Amino acid sequence: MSRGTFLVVGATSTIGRCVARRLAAEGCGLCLTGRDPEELAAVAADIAVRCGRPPLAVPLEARDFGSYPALMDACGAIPGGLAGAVITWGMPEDPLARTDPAATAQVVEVNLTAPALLLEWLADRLGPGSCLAVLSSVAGDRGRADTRLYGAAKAGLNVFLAGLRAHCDRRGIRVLTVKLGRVDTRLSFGLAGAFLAISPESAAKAVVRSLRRGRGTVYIPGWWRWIMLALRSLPEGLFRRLPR
Amino acid sequence: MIWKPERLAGWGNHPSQLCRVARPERLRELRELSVAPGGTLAWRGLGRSYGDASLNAGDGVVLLGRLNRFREFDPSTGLLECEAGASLADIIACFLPRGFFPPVTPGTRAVTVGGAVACDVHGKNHHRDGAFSAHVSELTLLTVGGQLLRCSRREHPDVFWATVGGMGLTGCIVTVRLALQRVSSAFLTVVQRRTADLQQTMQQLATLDAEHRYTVAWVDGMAGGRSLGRAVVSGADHASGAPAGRGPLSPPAHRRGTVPFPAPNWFLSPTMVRGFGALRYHRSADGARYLADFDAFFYPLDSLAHWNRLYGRRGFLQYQFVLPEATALEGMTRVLETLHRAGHPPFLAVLKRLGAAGEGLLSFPRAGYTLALDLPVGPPELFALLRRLDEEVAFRGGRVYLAKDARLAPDLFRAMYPQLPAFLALKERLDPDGRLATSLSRRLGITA
Repeated sequence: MSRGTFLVVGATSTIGRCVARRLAAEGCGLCLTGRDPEELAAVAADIAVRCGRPPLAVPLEARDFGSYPALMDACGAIPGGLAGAVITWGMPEDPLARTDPAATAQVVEVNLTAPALLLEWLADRLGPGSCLAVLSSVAGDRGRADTRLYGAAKAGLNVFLAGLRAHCDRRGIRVLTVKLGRVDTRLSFGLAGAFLAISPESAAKAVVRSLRRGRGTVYIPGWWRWIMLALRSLPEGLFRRLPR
Repeated sequence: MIWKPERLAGWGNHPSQLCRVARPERLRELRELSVAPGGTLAWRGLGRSYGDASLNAGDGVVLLGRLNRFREFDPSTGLLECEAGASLADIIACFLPRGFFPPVTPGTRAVTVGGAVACDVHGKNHHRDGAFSAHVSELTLLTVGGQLLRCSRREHPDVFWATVGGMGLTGCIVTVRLALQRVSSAFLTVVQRRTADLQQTMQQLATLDAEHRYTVAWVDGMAGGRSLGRAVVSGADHASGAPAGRGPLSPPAHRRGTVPFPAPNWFLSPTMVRGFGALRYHRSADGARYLADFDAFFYPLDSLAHWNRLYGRRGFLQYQFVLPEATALEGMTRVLETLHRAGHPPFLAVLKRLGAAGEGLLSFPRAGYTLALDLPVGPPELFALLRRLDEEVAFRGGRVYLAKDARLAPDLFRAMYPQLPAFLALKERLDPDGRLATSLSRRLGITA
């Protein structure tokens, strides 16, 4: 992988900061964004200590669409341009707010609208050989009762990414759909089935590896591909009856 | 904040208790949690204290390992500021290639900096460099009121000395400023001496202390009678070079094994143990000199993940105490003889000479000798026996190490830690409602 500069969007999430550390350890330059200024400063300081050069840190809130141009300007000023970007945005649904229009819009915006919009900006600015990796979820592969809205938004994101991949292919930009299985972060803390979860560090390692040479859709860990293949081929009537 | 019920244990797997567990991933979450009403709170890093220091039966335990970021490093002085959830393993991985190493390290690198401060851990260089706290210039403490208190030897020194060695009972250690030591090699030059009995072992430790930065004695715990306390004593210093063909700061990567599940309880039987101890003793040549990488010298047990499972589901106790120089030989002979006679010879026994005590109110280290013994959890008689040993230790002016302890009684604890009243007064001031408690603090009568 070129040791250029990578943009990590959502670098204050647990996976985001692990991805940033991993890239820094490999000698890459970094531009980090995060919503919480205190956390963003903490992650940026950590990276600066680890690799000896401070990253660019740009406060960014996913749903503040008007702030994207400022981020693009900041990235445009990076010498040599961006070698790639990792987008870690994601937001689970609140089952208690299913009839709240604002909450519903928020889930769709953070999981689908915001990444779609930001990726359009980025795709116009990246050069050949660069890579866009977007964290999605296996929840987008099949509709489930408890994650129906989140899954729908991620499914929409997956389709968008397939389309963007076709659009960017001729220009030599790789677009990766990274479908994460369960990772041991705040989202899965305390949920049943935690034994399936992998550590955020190993998830980040796999994300960076696929940045280097992944193509199309990547499952992390890899065996989720076969589980999801099996689950997708089940008739819906049968899928519904699976234990949760 | 999400709380989930989970059965937790210390490294000794005894006791194991059902607690409510939360894991903040952002500083804001930690602050919110510390002021939210509810039950009592305990802090837990990597869970390497042996007994119940990081447990809170039926109540809240907060995992701090995710708050592990480095904040600032000055390569000209070696001063590192980091969040308390950073581990010594993180520090070594990041800074050894740049020629820095933790100033003090316990026998495992899988401890957090916060835990090292809260237990005021010591290492093989205590006789020269003091305990961990001697290298901490400043820390920030999150009090139960949600206030971030910056403490050092000058700023809130009373809080600083109560927090150092204070077992997490004064507040949550959030950041620590630590002076790393400069090293020019990841290797150590080691000399080794074999001794015939406890008296020789102690003499040898004192002799090597004068010449070497690191010293330690691996005692053959199974040898009794005239060989009681025979040991392999090592002295070591940071090397300046490396074996041929290696960069001085790039030690070999070791293969790591793991113990995938708890062994059956009979696995570490006295016969096995006797064989192992004798083998280790006889295989070590007297007067040997060699170059060891830091991993092999400081962390021999880290190469086997989950080695505590070798003791089976019953778990084990580590009995570590210190005795003043004047009473150490007699006291330790008594302790070892008593264990032998009762049929509980220790599997692992490590002897170390300590330098002068620091100022931490509940810090363990004080001048003298410290002996650490691993004992499988056994019948109730074992606990009664250890109570008698506690009395020996207290009577001879020594104390038991809280980070290792799972069973000390409150009366003997008070006798061993004379600065407890000062600690309690400060605890009352910082935490008047008693929000911070652990299973250990309740057992020892520090909290209600």
